[in-house]
Amino acid sequence: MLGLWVGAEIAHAAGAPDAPADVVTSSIFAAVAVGCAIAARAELRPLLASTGGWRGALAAVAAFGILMAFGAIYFPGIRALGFRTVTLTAPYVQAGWPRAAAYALLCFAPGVFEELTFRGYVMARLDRVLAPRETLLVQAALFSLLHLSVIIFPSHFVIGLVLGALRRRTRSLYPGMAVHIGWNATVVWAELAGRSLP
Amino acid sequence: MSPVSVPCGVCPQDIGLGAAVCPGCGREVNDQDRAVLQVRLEGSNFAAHDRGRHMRQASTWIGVLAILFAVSAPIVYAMQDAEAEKALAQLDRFDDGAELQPIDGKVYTAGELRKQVAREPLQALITNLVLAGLMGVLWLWARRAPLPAIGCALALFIVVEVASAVVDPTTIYKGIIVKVIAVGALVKGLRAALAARAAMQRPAP
Repeated sequence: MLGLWVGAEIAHAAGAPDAPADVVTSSIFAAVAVGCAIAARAELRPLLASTGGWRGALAAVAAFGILMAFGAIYFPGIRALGFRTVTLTAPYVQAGWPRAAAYALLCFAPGVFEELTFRGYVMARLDRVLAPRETLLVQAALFSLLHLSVIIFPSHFVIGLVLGALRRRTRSLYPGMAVHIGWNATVVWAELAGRSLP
Repeated sequence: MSPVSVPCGVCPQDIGLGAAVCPGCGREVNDQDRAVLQVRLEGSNFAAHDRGRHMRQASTWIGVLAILFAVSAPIVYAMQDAEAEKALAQLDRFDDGAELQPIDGKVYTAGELRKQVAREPLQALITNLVLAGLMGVLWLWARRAPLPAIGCALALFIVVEVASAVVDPTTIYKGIIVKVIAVGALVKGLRAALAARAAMQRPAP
């Protein structure tokens, strides 16, 4: 992810249009995530075979509520300090792409492929060498670090912890994917509607 | 029973190397048990002592990085404040509503840019203090659980350095010797911590 981000920044500096560059970056990340999932297929098979059932759905709703409540405090706080949050949808709006493209590339793709990578591959591999609590903390730390902005490290660490705990509790990746897609969709919807939620 | 062990504390049994739970009561082995087992293993084994030394050095470097971020915070603040004052002086000749030349493709009014420039020193201060705080937390964690803490510290340091280099390539050369030594110590510490964890998980003969 770090390499992809550096590549995207170099492409941006070289004058490449942002929206198509995002598509390329997302496609490469998706391929990497699928490769990781294949490499850890033995550990991921039970996580992908179960949906988590109604308990998983309830846990996902609770996790989403926790994240929205947390976001409603954290993000207005950093905006009050003058930090600008990145406008994710701007490249798509400027390129005249349909809203569905923004939802697909900013909500669906990260929701599925980041969950496969962090809550799937990374947690499975860390579980080999670390205690369960350590795995939860380290995957959340890596998840936050790879969003590459110091001021959102704390918020994304909390998001990573909640999604990791959801994966542990439900023994499935789907509730986490649903929460992740829901969270990103809320951010994209708010941006497109000209609001500042969460 | 392994010659290196730690009393359970809940039941009269001892917990040996390689155990995930107490053989007497089933209590899960925690970070504190592992730390005591590591110290006792180091006392009886030269390789373990060497691993422990590398882990302690890495842990010390995490503390050093925390102090460096904390010390650099007010220095960067002062430098940015001086730059901001110069920029604000140049912006003085524009009215608040006047549109300026685009910066990174975005058009600002003079009023917006003034606000942004005035906030930048505080933002740099907060950013460095957040990094110092994170490294401080990792330094504390490294005393209980060196492997995950050193891994996170190394990842944090690399991400921050790469991000800084992308935003401003001149940062690559700034403090290069300290950066190389810090990364070297963290990598050595991480490898030692991995070997130590493997030794802990391997039952003693």
